[in-house]
This record gives sequence, structure tokens and C-alpha cells, in this order.
Amino acid sequence: MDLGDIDISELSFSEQFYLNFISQGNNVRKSLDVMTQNPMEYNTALLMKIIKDNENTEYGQKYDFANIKSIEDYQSKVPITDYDSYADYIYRMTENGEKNLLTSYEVIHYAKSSGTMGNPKRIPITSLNQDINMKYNYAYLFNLFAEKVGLEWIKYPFLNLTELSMSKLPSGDTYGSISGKIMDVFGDMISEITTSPTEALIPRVGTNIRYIHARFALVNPDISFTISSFVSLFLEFLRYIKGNWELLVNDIKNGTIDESIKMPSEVRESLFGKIEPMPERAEELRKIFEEGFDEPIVPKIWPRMSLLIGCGSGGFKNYLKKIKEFTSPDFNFALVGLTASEGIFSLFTDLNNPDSVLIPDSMFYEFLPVDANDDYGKIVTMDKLEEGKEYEVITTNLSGFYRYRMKDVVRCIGRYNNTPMIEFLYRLDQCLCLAGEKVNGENIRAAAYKTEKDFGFDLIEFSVYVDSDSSPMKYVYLMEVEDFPEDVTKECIQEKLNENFCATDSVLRNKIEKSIIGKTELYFLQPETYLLYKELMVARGTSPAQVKPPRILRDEQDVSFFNVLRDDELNKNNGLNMEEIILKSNIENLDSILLKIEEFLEDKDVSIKSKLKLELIIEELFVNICNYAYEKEGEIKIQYGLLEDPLRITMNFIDCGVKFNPLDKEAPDLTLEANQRDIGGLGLTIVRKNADEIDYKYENNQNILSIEKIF
Amino acid sequence: MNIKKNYNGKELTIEVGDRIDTVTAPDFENEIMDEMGKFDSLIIDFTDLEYISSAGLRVLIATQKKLKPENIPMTIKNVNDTINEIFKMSGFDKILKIE
Repeated sequence: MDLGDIDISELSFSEQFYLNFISQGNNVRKSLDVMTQNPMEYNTALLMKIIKDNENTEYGQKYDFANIKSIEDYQSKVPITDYDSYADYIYRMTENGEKNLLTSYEVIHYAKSSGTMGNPKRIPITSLNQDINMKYNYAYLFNLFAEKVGLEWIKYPFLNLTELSMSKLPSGDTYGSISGKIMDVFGDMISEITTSPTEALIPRVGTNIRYIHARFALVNPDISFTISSFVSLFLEFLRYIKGNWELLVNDIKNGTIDESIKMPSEVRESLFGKIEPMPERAEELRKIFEEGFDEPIVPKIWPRMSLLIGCGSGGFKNYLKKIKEFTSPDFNFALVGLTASEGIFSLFTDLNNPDSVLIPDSMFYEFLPVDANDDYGKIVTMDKLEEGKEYEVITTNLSGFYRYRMKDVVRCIGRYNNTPMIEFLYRLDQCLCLAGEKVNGENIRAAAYKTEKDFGFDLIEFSVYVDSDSSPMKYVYLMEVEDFPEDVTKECIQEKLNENFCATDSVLRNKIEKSIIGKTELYFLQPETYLLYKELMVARGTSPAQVKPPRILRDEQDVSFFNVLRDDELNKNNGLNMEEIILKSNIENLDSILLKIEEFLEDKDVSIKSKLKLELIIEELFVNICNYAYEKEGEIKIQYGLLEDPLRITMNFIDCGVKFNPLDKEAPDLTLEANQRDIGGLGLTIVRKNADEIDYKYENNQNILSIEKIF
Repeated sequence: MNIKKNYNGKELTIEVGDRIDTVTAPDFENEIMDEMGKFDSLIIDFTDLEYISSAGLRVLIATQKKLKPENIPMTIKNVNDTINEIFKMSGFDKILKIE
């Protein structure tokens, strides 16, 4: 970026602020380019600096930092750690304000990090760490953005969906999410350069934040970009507008806040001071919304908006696809790489590119191969990363963590200059294994999203847990969905989900087919269950910005929470496990199905007469499908199961042939002479006479004929 | 859903019967909101309640959050076995006062 010809004195404060970052960005990009040519030199130098600077801390003395001269010294003297290794030190720092325990650098903040159900963690952030955050989160990013789209945007406000709430610790230090702390740089300017008012950025309890964000964003057509800690928040925001645009437009027109919108009365009062009737903008918006949401809506509402900044790797990938339905093709994404309270692990190499490169001056990296089974002897430095291999990240950061296991698993996907690029795969503690298969977040997501696509419902959130009480053990999916398809049964979706899940891992398929692992189960949850979960976690003290939907439930309490909130209506099923056989629609196969049913009834208390009648029914239906369903040959799926009281068999005959409801035909007149009767109808008469129930439906392009026969 | 409200001095008892589900939860919330500021103690009596959905639980958690800063106690009373099971399994028994 050449900024040489801009007259700074003409610019507003915020424009100067952006330009300052953009011009710093030139150097950041240059230095990144240099460092990534020779990453080990810079990464080793960083480690040595950290060790030297901290040799007089309590931790540094305990592990003899003073006599560490090389990476090998460091690895032999300093142990691998987790959060518990630091908990006592951090307690003394945050409760008593003690200093120089873990780090000699100035601690400026403690990041609230989602632990599991237990207490949220307090991760120290030093000024050095924050400098790195500024450098790569803003200078680098804004520079790339300006290079791509020019400088027009610095005049306009942005939409900020990141919460800025912070609390104070007994030591006086601030405590809150890292994403909020990174936004701190905007200081008092934040209310001038973002659209959302303080009421949404530092929300009071019981405030409908989504409404406020949407309301204040919609009135401003000039928004130029969006910052969202996780990209999913932006999708939530757009979905809210889609679902509530009429209310929003009315409020904008009249300068009102609809009664149904929840917020404390003081918040409502103070917001009234910030709004006024805007009939013209309301009319503009109404026209846009009335055109529908089939075409991208973002460029119509905010023609200048051309960038979304947020975490979009790993589990967030699927949200991106959905956001793109709302945005124009030239909309940009700055997908911050692996970013955590502990520091920035990797940095995107360009806009719209999810690949990210390690940053040699951000932290000292070590990697434990996932297949090393916790053998610390196999830990490698960044220069030894092999492409395609999976590793857990171990960090020594600028904030007092030394050889800290992140439990994040990444894959090395190549090199940028000479520095490894990584993609985030999953959290290590989210890997499941029942019987030798390796199932992680990726498998679980792939199966869920494939199933969502197959049936065209809207998957809001979902979780998976292992039901280890059942025999055999099995995976259970819990899904919150919208736009549930009307003509599909839950069993049908469950069946497909199991198939999609098996398709993600051959070992898993093998175990399920052999019944070593049970078939995958599915339950739907009540509407807004995940919102309730979020509120429950917040009530227990987790920062709202940090509550992520729990993908894999490990905690008994979580499992029972979601299970008690199943949606009985959607989960309705007859409680029956049906067996199933799929045959080609060829009359030669009639014997196979008859034999199968005979085996199935072998040890049941069924009279020969009943069996014969059942055979008649099966024969008629099977032959009927063979003759009429397909032009050539297709498949017939037959499901069958037993029900009690009275003992009876229930069967479904399913084909994908031409739509045909045999029950539409009148029962033939049996008083006519045989040669005058309709032959096809006669077969069905036999079925009608012998079956106790008969039912037909057409679902998902399938003819489904169901019968019951009481024995 | 049916609702009865009873004041004993500044102690408000709200009896809720039948079901609190996605449809009725907003009414339940509005009924409580209408009384805000008029009581210094809130008792929610679930003697005749047969079912509570996630939307109903959200109202309870929201109400509790609003009352907390004012130090107004909220107690849930006479919970039948089914509802009690829901409270227990969802973990709400740990954050709500249930008698």
C-alpha cells in the first residue's frame, strides 16, 4: 500500500487511526515475509528471549531458566504443562495481585476462557501479547483489506458483534473474553465507528442484543465491514433479520421499539434517546425485503459492506457456506487462523483463504504428533512438521505459559515460504473412540451436515454423545432443527444419518455393520434448546462470548440436560426396531424374502395358517412392485418387525418407482365372473382380506405400503 | 396454561397450572413482568403444572437473573415428580431454589 499522497490533516481521528494501522501493516507484512523465510532462527530467538526475560520469575527459578542455552536444554529442564499446572500461580496473581510468578512482563488482562462445565479459566495476557494481537489482528488485516478494496471504507462505520463486557478481579485486573480485549484498542471511539450502541456491546441482563444490533445496523446503509468473534454470530444476525424484518422495518419507520422485544426499562429508555422515525429508510428496506431472500440481501442493504472478520476455521467452515447465501460473490472473508486466549497461533496468508501460517514471533511452537500416544520424546519443533500429518500444539507464549498443551489438533498442509501452514482440525479432548474407530469433530460434523442437506431442513445446532450404558454402545446425535420436512419420518432421517456417519470412517462402518457398535441414534431437541444452554452456562459464570455449542458431550450433566429437552413431538416413533432387506425388483427374488420372513418367525408363536396368509400378502405386494413400479429393474426395500398385544407383524414395502397408490382403486366387485374382474385389483383384494391394517404413503419419492398382520 | 396470582403483603405467589410450552411461555413471562417492582419475595407454585419446555425454563432463568441484583428471593414450590425430574436432569435444581 502506498500511502504517500494522503494529506493526514484533512482526516478525522478514526480515519487517521485506520491509516496508522494500514501503514504499520506494510512493515508487518514485510517482516512476516522475512521471518517466514527462516522461521526457526526467529522462533528460537523468541524462545531465548522469553527464557532470559523470565529467569527471575518464581517459575523461571524453579526450572532453572538461567542455565537454559538451547532448545534441547529447555526441553529437558521444563516440563509439559496444562492449565492445572498454573492454577495456583494464577490464583495468587488474580486474588492477591502477586507479581513475577509466571512472567516478568506486565499482565494487562485475564482472558476468560471456556473451560468445560467447571470454572472458566483465567488466562493471563501481557502487554507483549497484546502488541502481537494488534499487529496481526489489525495492522496486517487492514493493510490486506485496503490493498484489495482501496481506502474508501475508512470513512464509514463497521458492525461489531463482539461483546465487550468485562469484570474486575480481586487484584484489580480486568477479566473478560480475549475477543473483547482485542477490541479495546478502539477505546472511546468505539461508539462513533460502530453502529451498535453500548446497550448491545456491554449488554445488561435480559436484553435482546440481536434486536439492537439489527435495528441499528439496518438504518445505516454505509456499514463497510463486520467484526464478529466467531463468524457464526454474523449468520445468527442475518437469520434474525430474515425472521423479523417486518417488525424491524415498522420500528424503524415509527421510531419505536416493539413491545415484544425484551430489555430492561432503563435500556429501553436510553435507546429511545438514540432513535428517531426514519420512514424513508424503512420504505427502502421494506422494498428490499419484499423482494425475498433468494438473492443475496447483504449488498442490497449495505452496498459498501465487503468484509467479515472472524474465526472461521474448523467447525465454523459450514457457517461460511451459509453466510455466502446472503452475500455477493465479491464479499471478502478475513478468517483469522487459530486464535486463542493463549495467543495467535497462525495467520491467514490472504483474504478469503482459510489456510494459515505459523507466526515465528508470536510464540515458541512445539508439536506432539497425534499418533505418538503422548510420548513426549516424539515432540518436534516447527521445522520438522511433515505435510499431511496431525499434531497437537504445545505453546510457550509471551504470557507466562511454558510448554503448555493446547489440546488443539492441527494438520500441516504445506509451507508458506519455509514456514508450515496449518489447518485446525479438532480439540483433542473431543476425539471419541468406542472400539478402535477414531471419531472426532470432523466426522461428526460431516455426517450431520450431509444429513441436513439430504433432507433440506435447517440444522441450528447439534451435539453427539456416546451412550455407553446400552449394549452394544452407540453414538447418539441430538439436533435442534428448523423447517422440519413434513413428509419424512424421524426413522428415515436417523437411518440416513447412520449411513452418512458410517461413510466418514471405514472402521466405524465395519464396527456398526458387525454390531460391535450399535446403529447411530437421533433425537430432535425442543426449539431454542441451545439458547437455553447458553443462558444456563452464563448463569453459572461463563462469559457469554465464550459459550460455544458443545459438540461432543462428555459430561453426564450435559448429556442429561439435552436429553430432558428432547422434542417429543418430533421424536415420535413407534418404538420399534425394524429389520430390513433390499432386493432387486425381480420375481425370482420372491423366495428370498419369503425365506427371510420364515426365519424371522421361526421361534415365534405363530400358527401355520397365519404364516400362509402372510406369505400370500407378501407375494402379492412383492409381485405387484416387480411388475409395475419400474420400467426395467429397481430396488425394493422391505422392513419388518414384531409388535405385541396382540402379537403381530408390521411390514413396509418401499420402492422408488412411479408414484402409485394401490388403495385408491376401488375394491373389485367379487360378484362378477372371474374373467370380468380386474386382475391387478384382485391381488390387492387378497391383501386387503388377509391383512389387518393396510396403509399407503408417498415420501421422498418413495412409495411406502405398510401392512400389519395379527397372528 | 392457567395462572393465579396472590399477594400476602409483599410476598407474591404465582400458581401456574397445565403446561408451560413454547406457545404459553411468553404469557407466563408477561404475567411475572406485570408484577415486577410490586413484591419483595416471589413464590412460584407448580402444584398443577404438568409440563415445562425449554422455553419455560428460559423464563425461570430470566426471572431469576432480573431479581438477583435486587436480592429478591424466588422460590419454586410443590413440584411434581415429572417436573422435578426435568429440573434435576437439566441442572436447574442447582441454580434455582426449589422446595
